[in-house]
Amino acid sequence: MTAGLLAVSVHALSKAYVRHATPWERLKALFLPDRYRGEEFWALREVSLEVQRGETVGIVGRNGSGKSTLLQIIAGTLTASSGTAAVTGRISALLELGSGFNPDFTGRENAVFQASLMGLSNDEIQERFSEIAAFADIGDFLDQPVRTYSSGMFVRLAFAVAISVSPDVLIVDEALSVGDEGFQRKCYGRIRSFQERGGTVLFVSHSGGAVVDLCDRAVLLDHGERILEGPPKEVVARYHKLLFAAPEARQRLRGELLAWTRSNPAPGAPLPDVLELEDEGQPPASMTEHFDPAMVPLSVLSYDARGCEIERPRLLSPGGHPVNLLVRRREYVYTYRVRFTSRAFKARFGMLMKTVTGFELGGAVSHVPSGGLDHVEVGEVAEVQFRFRCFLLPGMYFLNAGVVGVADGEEVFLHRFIDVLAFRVQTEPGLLATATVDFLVEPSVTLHAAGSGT
Amino acid sequence: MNPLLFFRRLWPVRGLALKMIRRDIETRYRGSFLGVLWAFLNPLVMLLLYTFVFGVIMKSRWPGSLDAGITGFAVSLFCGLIPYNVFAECANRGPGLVVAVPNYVKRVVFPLEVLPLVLVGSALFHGFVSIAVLLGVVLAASHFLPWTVLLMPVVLLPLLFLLLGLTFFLSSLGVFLRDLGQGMGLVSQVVLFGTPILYPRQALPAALGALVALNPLAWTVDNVRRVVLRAETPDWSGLVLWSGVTMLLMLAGYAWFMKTKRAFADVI
Repeated sequence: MTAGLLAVSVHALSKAYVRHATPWERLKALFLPDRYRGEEFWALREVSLEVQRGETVGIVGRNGSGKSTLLQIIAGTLTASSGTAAVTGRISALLELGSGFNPDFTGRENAVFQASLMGLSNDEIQERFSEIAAFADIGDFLDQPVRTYSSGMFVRLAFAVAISVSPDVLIVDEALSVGDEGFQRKCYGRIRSFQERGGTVLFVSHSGGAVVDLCDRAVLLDHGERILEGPPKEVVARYHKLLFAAPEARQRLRGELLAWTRSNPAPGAPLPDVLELEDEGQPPASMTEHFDPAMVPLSVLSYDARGCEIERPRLLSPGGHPVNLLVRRREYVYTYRVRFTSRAFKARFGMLMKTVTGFELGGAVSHVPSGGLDHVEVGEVAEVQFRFRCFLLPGMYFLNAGVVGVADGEEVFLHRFIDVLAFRVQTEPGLLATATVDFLVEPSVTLHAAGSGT
Repeated sequence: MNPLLFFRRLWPVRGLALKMIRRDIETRYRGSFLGVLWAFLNPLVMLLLYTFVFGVIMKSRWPGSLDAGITGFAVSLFCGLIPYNVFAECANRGPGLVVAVPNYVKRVVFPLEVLPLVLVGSALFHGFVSIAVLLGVVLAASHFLPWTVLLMPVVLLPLLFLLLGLTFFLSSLGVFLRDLGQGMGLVSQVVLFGTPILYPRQALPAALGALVALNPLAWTVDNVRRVVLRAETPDWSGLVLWSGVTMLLMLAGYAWFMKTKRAFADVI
């Protein structure tokens, strides 16, 4: 790779968004920058990036990490506060879907207009129009005002235009995620053939998979800094690590990656091995489980025993200590013993977790209906364990325990406890998930300007 | 700023500007059954209305007009209203011009300085349509058109520069000062009554005459009337003077726009 083949060269790029109290203050700052400073927010800090011609580089990072700012500066819609960004050749950017489209004009008119904005002559546009129409594949909608389009049609047309203007450098922001899967595949196919013809691609996606698939290299941005660069798969793995880490762990992880990057590692040097660090999305590592002996369910209800008795129901921490104040997402063991006072056949054991209102959240049985313990003799004791991960949000929960067996050709409860145990999942500061079940939700919000067409 | 530089910078975007002017005009009539025909219908109906009200009902006469018939007052009035309407359109739409297209400011690579050109171009288009209607009516009423109407484009040159300069300033300032849109509505009313449009210049008290002499729009109105209604050649020295002054305004407006443009994205 020689320096002469650089398609994109970004050097020590910084961007500060300056917030002024009023637009008028901003105007004054233009003329008297020293007197009217405003409040600065650094979206990018000293980011450098070199992309060889024909290379595809993926950029990953959380919302607000500076990805879009970087791409907009490269595309030329934003000016940097300091540093330089140079692009060789024609650049086509699919930054936000159909953002340049006028809602009152037809798809055809908008496509022609966009293409002419990108510097194509009328003849060239005529020449390529059938290609654009075929790729967008929106049929008669092409001659309808784009305000009647679905978001999928929007992105179809926008992508068709962006790729058909024969750019040297193609910038693809997350816009593609709007299209259906068939269309996405088509786009990726088209990006691949663009790559094969030697095109340079800058690709941003929330989908780590697409970055791994398409890119030769990936860059991880965080809080406006380039904290890692390397093979896509390894960068994406560390990005996900960072994404799901608890706040303190994230700081530590970020520091490690940044320190490694700043040490100017040789190209191809192995990336820092941080993957064994704490697991994703966890509550703070400092939280611990406890046992509150006073927390006993007042609603315990025992069925009449028919030949066995459930004893010593307990919740245990991974270390084997009894607990009833749990921490979200950690693993616990629900255990009880069953002492058989008469012979039993096809014995199976069960558990059930419920909310305060008695709603049945989930449970398990030890065996399938025909597969219980064939034959249990009097005096035998069964040790039952249910290992589970606590995907419940802070609140109070109750546990049932039950044993069934076959008597007179029919499966019946041998013993059953309702609300035999109560436990509480401890509250955590700053928790975003709500209600009962922890679905490992990752919230993200993107704000679009009013009237941006979506 | 060097006038040549102004043209050299804007020359490459002429194709885009023309395309957008067309779009702007089309947008206005889009969806309507008669389409661009409305552009003709509006001034025609207005002119006929003026003729009816001032010529037939009020029997007003415009001093110094060659046309003493029932259309006389109406065409004199119309000669003043045409440049004024072009001015008012730029003054009223100018402040919201950039604010209305955040996508162009923030999302795509777009030469924003095209926008004022588009507004002025589209306003002038409607002005020319009105002029065509005016000439048609004059011809129909007097079976005669003075050759001096051919000088109309020259007469409108200071207006073109004035409007470009004004729109460059307004569209930039409107980004930072959102009340400007409201203010300009008021200003254009003041200009309507402060310029000899609804009345002849001679009707003004002498004390105010000096003030009107400083008003480039008044010069344009006067000279449109000269070439259309009185078959006189324009006031050449005024033309040179006003072209110079308004061109300076235009260049200053352009320089201002280009200087402030990079802050647009911060506040839109």
